[in-house]
Amino acid sequence: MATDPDRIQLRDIEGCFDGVIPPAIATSSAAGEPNVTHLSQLYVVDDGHVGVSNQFFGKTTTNLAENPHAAVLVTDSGTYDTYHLDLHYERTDTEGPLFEELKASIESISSLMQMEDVFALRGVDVYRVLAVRRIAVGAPPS
Amino acid sequence: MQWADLAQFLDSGVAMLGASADATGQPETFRIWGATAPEEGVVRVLVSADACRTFEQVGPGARMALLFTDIGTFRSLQVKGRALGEPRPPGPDEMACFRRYDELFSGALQGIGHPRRLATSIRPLAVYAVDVEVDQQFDQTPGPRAGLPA
Repeated sequence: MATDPDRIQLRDIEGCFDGVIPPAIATSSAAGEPNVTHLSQLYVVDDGHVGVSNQFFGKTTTNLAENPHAAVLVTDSGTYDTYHLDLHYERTDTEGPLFEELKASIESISSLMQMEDVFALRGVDVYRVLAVRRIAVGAPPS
Repeated sequence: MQWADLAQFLDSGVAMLGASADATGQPETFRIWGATAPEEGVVRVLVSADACRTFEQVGPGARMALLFTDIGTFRSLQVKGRALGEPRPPGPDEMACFRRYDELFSGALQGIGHPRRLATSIRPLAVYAVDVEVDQQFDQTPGPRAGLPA
């Protein structure tokens, strides 16, 4: 990511990446049909990339093959601030350090939920972060 | 899912999210803070006013995806369809829906161990009402049926 001091950096929103509050990811087919689904967790790969565990993303995976754009809505478990991330899909890792790290994390989460079979990790989708926008929320109902 | 069952599901404090995509294929995802099924085949959603890209391009015929999830059981349903009109400010009935959803979803979050502050922190500042004519339903519950028609 660029070094614009006003730009929100991934390292400044660490509570978005601990899996406490499940994020959601949106993709779109080439024909413009959107799709949205929950994630178990979003991971920081480096200052400009995030990773998403691919467990059962049938439509998400199909859409990314046609259109690499994606968007994530994620809430920081420490501050409860919500962020919208514009992403560009780059690759899927099915082995290597990132895959092994996420596999261990997923197995831990799924064991706690007693859903080990359901949450088997298939790969780690890696995205370049294009933009991070804080969502304005929190007013009382009127 | 039968329409009556869907209407009941929408009124049970489920988590609500939506998505749209612009002409370049860039999607946007946003919170929904209340939804009803005012007639067979139509879902009315209260979309967070922060979904600026969505409001720029959603009008009659625009495709939208809506995700409804029971946060206690993970039962999840995604519906897709076309917007029936332009987003509009909520009327009295829709603000009543907003407040009812606020109570139900806040209770659901507290039911799984989150503090009430979470609901008040993620509640949209304002919402716009959008009617969506539903033409597809998908079971989004984690497991072997995920993504199949509901």
